[in-house]
Amino acid sequence: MKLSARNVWKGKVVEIELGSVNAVVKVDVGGIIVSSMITLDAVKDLGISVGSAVYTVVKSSSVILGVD
Amino acid sequence: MSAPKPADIVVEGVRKSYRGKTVVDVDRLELKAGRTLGLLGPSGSGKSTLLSMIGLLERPDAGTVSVDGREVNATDRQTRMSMAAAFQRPYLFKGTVGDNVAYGLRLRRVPASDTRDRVEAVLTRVGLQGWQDRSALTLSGGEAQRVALARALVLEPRILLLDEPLASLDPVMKWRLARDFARILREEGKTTLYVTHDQDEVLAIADDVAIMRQGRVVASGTGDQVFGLPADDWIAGFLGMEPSIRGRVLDVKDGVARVDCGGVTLYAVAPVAPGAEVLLGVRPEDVVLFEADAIVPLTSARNKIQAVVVQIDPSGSTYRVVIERGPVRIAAKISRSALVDLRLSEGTPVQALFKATAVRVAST
Amino acid sequence: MGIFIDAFRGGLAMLVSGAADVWTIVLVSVQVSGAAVLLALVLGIPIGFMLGTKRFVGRRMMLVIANTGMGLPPVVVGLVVAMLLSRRGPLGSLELLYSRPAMVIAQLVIAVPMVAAVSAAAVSAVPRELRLQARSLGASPLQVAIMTLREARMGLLASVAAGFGSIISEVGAVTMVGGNLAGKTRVMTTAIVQYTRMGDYGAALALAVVLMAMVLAVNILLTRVQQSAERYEQ
Repeated sequence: MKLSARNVWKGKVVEIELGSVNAVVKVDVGGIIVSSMITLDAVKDLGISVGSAVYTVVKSSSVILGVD
Repeated sequence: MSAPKPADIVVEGVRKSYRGKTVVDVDRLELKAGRTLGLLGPSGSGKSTLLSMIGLLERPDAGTVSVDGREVNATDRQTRMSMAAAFQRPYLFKGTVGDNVAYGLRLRRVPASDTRDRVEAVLTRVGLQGWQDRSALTLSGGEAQRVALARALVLEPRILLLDEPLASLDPVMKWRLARDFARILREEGKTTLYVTHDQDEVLAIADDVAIMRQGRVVASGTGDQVFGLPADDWIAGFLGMEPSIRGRVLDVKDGVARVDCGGVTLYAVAPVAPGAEVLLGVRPEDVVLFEADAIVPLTSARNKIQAVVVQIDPSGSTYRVVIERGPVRIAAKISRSALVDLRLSEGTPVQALFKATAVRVAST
Repeated sequence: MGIFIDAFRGGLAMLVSGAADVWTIVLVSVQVSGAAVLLALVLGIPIGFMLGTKRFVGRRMMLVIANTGMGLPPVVVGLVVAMLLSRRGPLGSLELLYSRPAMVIAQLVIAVPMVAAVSAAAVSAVPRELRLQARSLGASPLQVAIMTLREARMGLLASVAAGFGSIISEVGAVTMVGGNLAGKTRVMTTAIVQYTRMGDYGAALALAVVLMAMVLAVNILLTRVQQSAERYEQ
């Protein structure tokens, strides 16, 4: 499957913090924690919970670089 | 440097015409204390005239300019002294760089030793340390522009008015100065009006944005609001964006609205009521494209639509791919390698995926 | 050529020995033209500033008048001033005809349009944006005007030089209103005419040299002004 997003990483859900509309899902991608803000609806749909295997997709246009 | 409290400026009912032609007709525009308002518009839209009136350099035919809630005009010396401006072409006075920067301080009868220190400090700030004794008329465009900015900044004005200060520069110098301006304005925390016709400059420098067209302010708000969702088709075209999508809210569940857009259903996170007519927009940076026949697995992104590529434009080092499905037109910003991978061209069917939080919504 | 050599020798002797009447004539010339040019500045520069910076009804007309004034035939000026100051004229009661003030008035009339026109050109070369810039930095209208004149200083100097150069060389008007009275209203130009008529070439040539030196100095100044004219950068 080809998609335009340049960054696709497989990871494992380590935390789900539920809000009123959105949930912040923390995913361990090879030791790095990636946060994803998704709707509560999406959490239900995906049926994810802590420990679920997921893909994280990040468009390169959303990646900010910084230097020390 | 002890900076005075930034000012709050409100422009109300301001009109100005030249030879019977209305060039400015602004019902209301607000410059919030300590923030930079980027005033965008094509040339001839009245931005510079509006700046001149806010700067009390020109008298409006009607309407008022208020600073901190008090109406002001050109005879108000104290208010005029709290402002400083720099223009598109950095006109410098004959003499040295130091003379130029010190001009406003001398008008304010600042003592000579104090003047010297402040000139030195501000030149360092704009990256021209120790340039006091150079002749002002031998400078390059970029250097002159820095001197013009220093000449305004040295006054520690509460209100800074910048009219196309980068327009006459070459691209490299322009972006270097844009970065510097953004940094300086952020550090200074002044109320700034930044007039330009270049939206990238506004994105880099401004906190708030207003768009002018034929003398009127047709959009204003935070950068996110104005750029996120064009209020009408002209603004969309001016900003190089797709026109907003019109839709009607079907229902709202857990804060997620389901919106019918001429047969295409989109999901958005927005505080709207069922039945409401709304405008929708999606930031091109938030749209992911898939091959048309890919079986997209279940994702957290609420919006997945089948569409056709109708336009591909290079935009800097990336591409702007416009896709269409019925009345829904959405642009996606993708990299060159993604364009090649997906073998996109006009007419290629694709699937687009974007999050409900990426959809901006405004009520009509 | 003997006539030149003799005259030159005689004239040089007069200048070096400080022959009283020759230097008196030079002094009267400088006093009259100097006073006229100073008054012309006082009147001409504000007019030039207005013409060069403001937009108002009748401006174009005034510019035409100022430019025409630059080419005003001095004898016509002399005639009109003489008539005004003559015993039967409207200003006759002042009894100024055939006096230095009368000469100053005539030269003033010749110089004002010149100073106004040249300074208008100099001031209008200062970009409008620079005045706007000064205002935006807090300058009052008077301070903006001072800044503009400072920026135009080279051009203003040119107007002084041009005005002085033209009136000190002028002969017709000063004869008519001054009368060429020895020791009183006799200036270099009228004296040269007088001495030449009398065949006293030595004295005439001596004055001619002084006059030429002054005009040359003025022109050198003008040329330097033009060469050093700074231009506004992009």
